[in-house]
Amino acid sequence: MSPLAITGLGVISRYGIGATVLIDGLMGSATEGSPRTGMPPEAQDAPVGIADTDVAQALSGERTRTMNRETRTLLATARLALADAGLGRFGGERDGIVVSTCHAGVQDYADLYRTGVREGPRMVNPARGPQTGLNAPAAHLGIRLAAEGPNMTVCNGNVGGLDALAYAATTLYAGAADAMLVCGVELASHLSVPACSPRSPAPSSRSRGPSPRPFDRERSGAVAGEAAAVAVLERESDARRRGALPRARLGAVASAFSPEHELADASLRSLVSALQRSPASADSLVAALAGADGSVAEDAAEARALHSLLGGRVPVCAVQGGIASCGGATALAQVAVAVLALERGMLPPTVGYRSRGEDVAPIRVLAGPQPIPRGPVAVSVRDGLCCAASAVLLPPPAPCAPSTSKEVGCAA
Amino acid sequence: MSAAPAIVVTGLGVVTALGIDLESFWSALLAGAVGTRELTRFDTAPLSCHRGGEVRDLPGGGPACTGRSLAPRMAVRAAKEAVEDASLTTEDIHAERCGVVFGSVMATRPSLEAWIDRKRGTGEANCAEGGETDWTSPSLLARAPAVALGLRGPNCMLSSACASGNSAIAYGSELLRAGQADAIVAGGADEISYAMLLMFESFRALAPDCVKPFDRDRDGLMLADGAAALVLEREPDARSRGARIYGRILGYANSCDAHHMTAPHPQGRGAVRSMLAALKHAGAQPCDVDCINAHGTGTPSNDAVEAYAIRTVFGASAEHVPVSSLKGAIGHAQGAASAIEAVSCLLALRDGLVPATANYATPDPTCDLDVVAGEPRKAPLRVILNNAFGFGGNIECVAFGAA
Repeated sequence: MSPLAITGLGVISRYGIGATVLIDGLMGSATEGSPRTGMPPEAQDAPVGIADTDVAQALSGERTRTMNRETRTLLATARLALADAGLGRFGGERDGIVVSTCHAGVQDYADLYRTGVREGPRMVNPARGPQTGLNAPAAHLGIRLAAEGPNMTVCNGNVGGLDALAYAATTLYAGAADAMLVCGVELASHLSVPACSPRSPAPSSRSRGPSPRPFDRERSGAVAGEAAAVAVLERESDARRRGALPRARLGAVASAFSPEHELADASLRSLVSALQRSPASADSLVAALAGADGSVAEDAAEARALHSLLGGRVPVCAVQGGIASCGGATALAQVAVAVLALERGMLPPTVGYRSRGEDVAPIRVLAGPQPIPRGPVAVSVRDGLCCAASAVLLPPPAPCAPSTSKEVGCAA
Repeated sequence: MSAAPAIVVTGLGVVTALGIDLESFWSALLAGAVGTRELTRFDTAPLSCHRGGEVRDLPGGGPACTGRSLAPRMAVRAAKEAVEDASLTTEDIHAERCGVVFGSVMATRPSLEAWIDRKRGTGEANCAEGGETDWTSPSLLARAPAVALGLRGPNCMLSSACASGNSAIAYGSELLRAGQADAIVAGGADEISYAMLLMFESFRALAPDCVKPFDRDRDGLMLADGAAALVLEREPDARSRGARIYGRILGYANSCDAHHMTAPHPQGRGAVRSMLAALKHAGAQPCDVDCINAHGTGTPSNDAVEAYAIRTVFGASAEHVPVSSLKGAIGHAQGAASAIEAVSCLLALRDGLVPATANYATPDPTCDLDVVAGEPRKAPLRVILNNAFGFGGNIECVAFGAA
């Protein structure tokens, strides 16, 4: 069986359009996440938002009248990824879609319910109903892209992006598709922002400041964020046959759960399992993209897991320091940063990190950009319900070369 | 497609309006009982439909269910029953090698209604008891059973709309084939919500009196609460621990109509592809299928398109393949529906009995299938195809085989 390769990336984040814009933003260590859209800036718990103007620009005038904001954003991001992969003919029976999201459609659900209760069933707009389901963005994307292959939605909080990657990998290995769009989207609303740190509405889990500060001494909790991230996954042999350059190879993905709410245990088990299933070893890892989001206890638990496996040797970047907690999109944004870090040979810092918290195990969290050698990278994520997932990404076997798209940032 | 080892089902659990345990559900279904009735949890006065497959009097369920909304509580109950039914203990399988995959349309989202009502100061109207913030975590549907059972392996909540239960079974099987776990509790759960009643009311898709799948006079669906769970294992593992085997998961396939958010493709394009691909995955031909558990919602469009798709796949032999739909008896349990129907398929394989389609009385020329009606039909069953179709054109069909 051919290894699986990531051949395209699309990201829309608070930094703007594109994966390169995201990593450049992290490299520049922008710290203040002023809300750009979604909720008014003066709102309590205002999120680190993305701009609707960015979404409109990425859509280049494509009609999206029947789509809600999540689906529109996802479509725009998918277009970026497909262009990056050079997959102009995506669609048909052999191409599929998997979307990770927590809150897609929740505002539509609330609006429909309120309308029905306040104004009566006759005032419910039938066109709004289908937007209320968790699968709406994936289904809409399937319709728009005419993708008749597998179509799935994964709803696993911050972990969901890697679960979506695992679903896509399983589908490709099983021969049920030739290319999979692996997507994550999470947008903020008055409803979902209070839930940005799943199942942890306690004040201690919410940041007192405007930005999260993963692993930092002064971290005080997570901050709601918005992002969409999409990766094109296909068999490496198929990619090469159509002349595409793999941007990274997927080593393995694994997940674990701790019913006793021991997050460090779940994180460690998922990391170990992913490494065991990949050609890489803990000793060979050159970097780790952590899922830390500034939460006090959870960041410390993840640091314990990373330290027990990697000690203080491997440089660590927590992407959520820059983009905040983006739910279902979080892990795929981390994957995008990991791929670009591999290509550039440079790992961005953890935005907002200045000095390690006393309760944080001595892992090597970066406060500034750090060159990394060519080698495997680990991606670690976890959610507030003590589920964790990890992935191992490997550099593609051939030397990195520029692709046909402006999206590629190969400086290695 | 995926190679051996075979995946088998060793435990079943179910929660429906017909019964909240396996044998009461199955005996009621075979007796021709209908579980849809007047809804009590909602003020349905503004609606044209006042009935549904409501699950009432669900027992507590232990600490994992305390303060939880209905869907995760049903998921926990079904999962517990399935694991007990499988006689699966930590002596057999390490908890780290046992995972949970559940599917749902809305998962915990209905609890948002109680949260909104509370914010509006209208008290408890239109809401199930407890769990007002569960909506923030749809993954609770898979996490809660894992907490209740102490399962530490892969944990995943999927949605492919009303095909979600079948999708969970398919993905759970893939996790086992990939060696990521030694046992998977796979299933689905969903609860009736007022928002979904409103949505289907806006489509004029709710049946006022009863659900009549494939009947000439069918006039819509009824929503239902429900959950079901299946314990999946690799066959050699199951046999080595001496487990009872209900049946095999022979094949499955997910596809998308890519046509419309609510309407099925008029020629059932995705359904045809999914049925054919599931049979191919199973190494079977249409002529090998002894029975079809239809999606059969009771809406005019679904049933006509499904019948067309079945005729396309099975050709002239379509009229000789027994077809049954459970939705006349229990309503449409949304993301749980196909998981519940999977349980029915496996019990049908065990007993050699195809349950009847409740409320079917008058054949419809546009659904010229061999619809099993009146009484269960005795038949030697080796292969059953379980169809599941959802909004957005999400489709997943699963082929089950005898042990």
